[in-house]
Amino acid sequence: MISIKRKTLGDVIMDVVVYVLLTVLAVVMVIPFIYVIAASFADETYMAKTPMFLFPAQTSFNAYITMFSGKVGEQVIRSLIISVCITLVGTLVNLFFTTTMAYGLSRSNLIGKKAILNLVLFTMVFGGGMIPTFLLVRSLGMYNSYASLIIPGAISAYNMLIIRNFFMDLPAGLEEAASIDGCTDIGIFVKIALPLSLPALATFGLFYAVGHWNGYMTALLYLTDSKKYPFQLVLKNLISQTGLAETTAGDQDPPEETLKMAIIVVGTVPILCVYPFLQKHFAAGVMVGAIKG
Amino acid sequence: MKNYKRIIASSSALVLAAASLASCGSSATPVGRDTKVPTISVMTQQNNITSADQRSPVVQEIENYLGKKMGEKYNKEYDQVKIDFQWTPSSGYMEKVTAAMGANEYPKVMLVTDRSSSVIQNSKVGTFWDLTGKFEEKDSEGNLKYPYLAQSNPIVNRNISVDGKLYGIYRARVIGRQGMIFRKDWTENLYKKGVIDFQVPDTVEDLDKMVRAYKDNDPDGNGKDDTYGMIITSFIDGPVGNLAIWCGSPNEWGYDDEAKMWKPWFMSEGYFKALTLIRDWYADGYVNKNMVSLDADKWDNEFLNGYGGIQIDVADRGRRNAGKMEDPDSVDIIGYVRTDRESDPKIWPTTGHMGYYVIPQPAVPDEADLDFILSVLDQCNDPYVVGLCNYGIEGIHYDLDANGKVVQKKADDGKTNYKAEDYADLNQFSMGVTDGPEYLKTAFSTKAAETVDRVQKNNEQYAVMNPMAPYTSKSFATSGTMMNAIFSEARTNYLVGKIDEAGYKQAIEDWMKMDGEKVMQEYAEAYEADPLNDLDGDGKADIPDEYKFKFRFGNVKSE
Amino acid sequence: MAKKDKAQETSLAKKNKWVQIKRDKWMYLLLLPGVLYFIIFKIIPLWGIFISMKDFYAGVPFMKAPWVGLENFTRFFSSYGFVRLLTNTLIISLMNIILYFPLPIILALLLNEIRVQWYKKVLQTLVYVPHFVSMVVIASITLMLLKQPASETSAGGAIYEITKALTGTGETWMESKVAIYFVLLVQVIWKETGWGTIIFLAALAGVDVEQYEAAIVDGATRFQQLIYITIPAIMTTVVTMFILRMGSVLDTGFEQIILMQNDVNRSATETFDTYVYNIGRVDGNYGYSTAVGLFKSVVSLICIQAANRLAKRAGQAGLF
Repeated sequence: MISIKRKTLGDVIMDVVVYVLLTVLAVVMVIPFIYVIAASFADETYMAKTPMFLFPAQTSFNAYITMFSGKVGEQVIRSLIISVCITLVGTLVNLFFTTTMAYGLSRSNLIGKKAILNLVLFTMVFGGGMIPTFLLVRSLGMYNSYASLIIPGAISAYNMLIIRNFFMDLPAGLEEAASIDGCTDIGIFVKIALPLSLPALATFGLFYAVGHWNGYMTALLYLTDSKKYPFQLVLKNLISQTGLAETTAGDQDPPEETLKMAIIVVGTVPILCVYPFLQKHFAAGVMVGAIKG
Repeated sequence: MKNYKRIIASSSALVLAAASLASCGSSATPVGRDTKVPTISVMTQQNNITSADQRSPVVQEIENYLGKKMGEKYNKEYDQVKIDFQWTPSSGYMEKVTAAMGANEYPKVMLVTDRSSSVIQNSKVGTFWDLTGKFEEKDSEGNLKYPYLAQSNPIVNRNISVDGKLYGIYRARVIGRQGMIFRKDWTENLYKKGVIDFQVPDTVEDLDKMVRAYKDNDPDGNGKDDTYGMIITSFIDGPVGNLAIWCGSPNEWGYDDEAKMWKPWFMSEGYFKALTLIRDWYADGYVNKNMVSLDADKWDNEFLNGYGGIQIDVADRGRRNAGKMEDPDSVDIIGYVRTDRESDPKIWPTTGHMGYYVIPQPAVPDEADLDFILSVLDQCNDPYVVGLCNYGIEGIHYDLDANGKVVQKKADDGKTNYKAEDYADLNQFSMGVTDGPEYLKTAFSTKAAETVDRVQKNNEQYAVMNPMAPYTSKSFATSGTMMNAIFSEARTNYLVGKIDEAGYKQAIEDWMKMDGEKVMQEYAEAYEADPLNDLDGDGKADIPDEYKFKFRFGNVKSE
Repeated sequence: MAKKDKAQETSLAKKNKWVQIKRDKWMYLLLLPGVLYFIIFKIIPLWGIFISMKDFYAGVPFMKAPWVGLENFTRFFSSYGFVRLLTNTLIISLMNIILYFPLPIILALLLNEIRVQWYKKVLQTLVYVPHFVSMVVIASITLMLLKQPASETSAGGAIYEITKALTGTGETWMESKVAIYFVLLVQVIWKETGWGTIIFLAALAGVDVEQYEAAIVDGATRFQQLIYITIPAIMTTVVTMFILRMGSVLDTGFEQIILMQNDVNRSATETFDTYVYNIGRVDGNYGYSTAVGLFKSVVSLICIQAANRLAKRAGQAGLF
């Protein structure tokens, strides 16, 4: 439609500017990744001497070999498995809590809905703070357990409200038809609402998953057993481990630069792999709900 | 209707479960003195990527040995006494300690590296076992119950005390640990060339000459201007602290006899002189340009690569660096330089500890268990165990040569099943209240190690003690980090030349305004209140001359 | 007449109330987990108000901690640190609002002008990607890029080398009080600008195509379309997002700052969030730290109310 229309000179200039600008921007966004990936395959001595490169002249797989062998490898692999499990279970828990509540609140004439909504809005801006939450989690017996990483953050109020908007936009006719067919509300939720909102589930599932995969502070607070550490914590420790002249013998050199890079790559790639599968849903107008909110 | 009931039932069950969980604290498992393998969990610091675990032969050997010893002591058959290490990364260690306290989930033995507010408060309310006088206890036959702990240093015990009571077993650090490491060969070259008139610097002035000559006069003789004087890292506190004491500053706190008040050391003449020295060096390139941001773990690279020639830090750094140099004799270590030719040597002592182990009552409610744990920790100070923690097992990790000297094995010689990780971080666990086995301690085959030992022993007598070490201040606890940060920022700015003396003075005034005055007052009160400070018995605290110093800043205007 | 109808309606509604609740029993069951969650994890912690009135430390039994009334608050307000924290927080937050907030909008508008769909997709993907990188990783990469060389002969981080080449002196990014603010800002820009476009792109997708067609018929250029159609169309979204942002003016990327904080830049980077963390989680002074946290919460509440009012007065819909 628009393409048929003849372009004015101003339009052409604008096109050029927009395309060039965006392309440059996109490249800038991606350069750090390329640098990190390149550095992870670089030779250690080469890296120490060369300030910047996007392709290492001397390559080496040593960083990856070190990372997955010996006791370092033990930690890395164990924490990767832990992170994958936390991400999977955590996301499922998130989605369960979020969608059930969102659907419950999507019914327009539900008595008490308003009160619950106000409660949610209030807690979005006013909270007891870090310490009372910590003491609560401890009292619930979740200290040093994976539940502490999953349950206390089971619902993001913001995400829940957006999903609620999504449910509210579902055609009312379908639900009516289903209820006439003898479906209970739960039946409608499971058989109709959820399948129809798969794009939303995928999107918010991804949001939650990213949160779990990248989670650092909560794990730092609640997990004491270093064998339970998820990957981000291990990553941070491996990168920042510096002994300040305390060891008298058996000194081990801190991890080499390339090893740090390789660890970063391994910590980032899995979550990036999930993303293309879900990306198409963003375009599906999921966020429209957010605007109405 | 049925469903409602079910919902109500299940939800009330959930609430009940939550409530019951909330009410019960941490359930303390007993040590298991009646089993074959009593277990003691120990939370301590991890510095290496991988620490020793139960698979390590060293840990196994320690546990066997402890089992044998405890069996003898308690007339029981123990296979082992298992030490269940909870290795916790040293970066952010105190956060984990605080979390453990907040969660009321304690190991049997917990290392505390910082006297944080919560550690102090928990000591006061009795969360940790009061160990005052415990170490001197005797059994029915009149023998010391804990012979090694009884040898612990009373000065250090005082430094870790709270309200005059002892709550822990410290991890000993040599009191005279600090020193200066420099390139002997460089200094000799310069001496031969006639640039300097000494082979070992004696005074601060000598040191100044040496730092400058290390850059200006090509000490390595390669014809290139590729060397410089002193290597300083972002851990600026170390070099500054030492140099300050050498220049005549008090240690942390000193008494200004003119103003009649206690002041922090950075207000003193000596401290400021030390800062000004470094400032001048930095401005002229005698110190590495990246001083402010260089990671402390990169400290040695510059030294080993032959760029920088002087390090002021713990003297044992010199031993390790000497071991890594091509010619170990090219490194020399001294304990101090004097303020000038007339003055006595002075050194910056450590507090004598790197944190201490507390025994939390919630995890060890039983007094008999406490006794058992103390016995185990006591045995961990047995020279044999100390040796294991620090050097590994003879024949696997090191050999003794004909002269009885230690030859440490290298990990990569392929002939042994040496693994550094076998005893990695066990030295963090080791308390070392008593010295390690003499044959190991003096057995290092390097000259540098002997020098370090001599220097550190010699240092002890010159220690400038910190009068406020045992005391705390409430204002400092809440504002301390900020105040320190603001002050150390000003200090850094002064060092790199961004501000001058007036700016430094301003920073001190700011420091005093932001609770600094309160902190000074609270420390002074704490000193006043301690009966141990009443030296002449007149009911008032006295201030010995050794605590009196010359100050330059921080006089409160009298209006 | 209307009055009568209404009265009838209410009485009917009252009668029907129980019927209605019964009818919706399954909905309530669905709501149960969520409501329980909010009560347990969001409402119960509000008892922290009591903690803030005690001299309470980690590990000390709550009952043994003495009541101190408002002392924690007064001590906090009267300390010099308070002014410092407020200044730091506002600097970081306002820099974020002024310099970062417009960027996703601009980027979204630019992306909207791309007509080649596959290329738009590619660009979108690329700018979204940084959002998925954890703060730990970003902090590590940043430190590596800004790293100063260990010696004159070895190389520093790429950005360090670039600034050195441009200015002749190697600036210490992590230690300079001003520079650290920009480091924090650039991290946010890199991580979130692309992701932030999503909501505006969604708004742009909702703009009526007929408006553009009409404009084209009227001979409007692309630029004119942008000014007169596109921007007004997303104004509501922009204002809504702005309100949300203002409401969290005291929030300052807590994890990010903790990871970037060092002893040298602490006096510039210590904000309310990090202070609560350092005093509470590290030092274990629970009472004091909770008092500071509560103060922040109250101010946040006021901020978001005020922003909402302003938005309404400006003729926008507002949030609630």
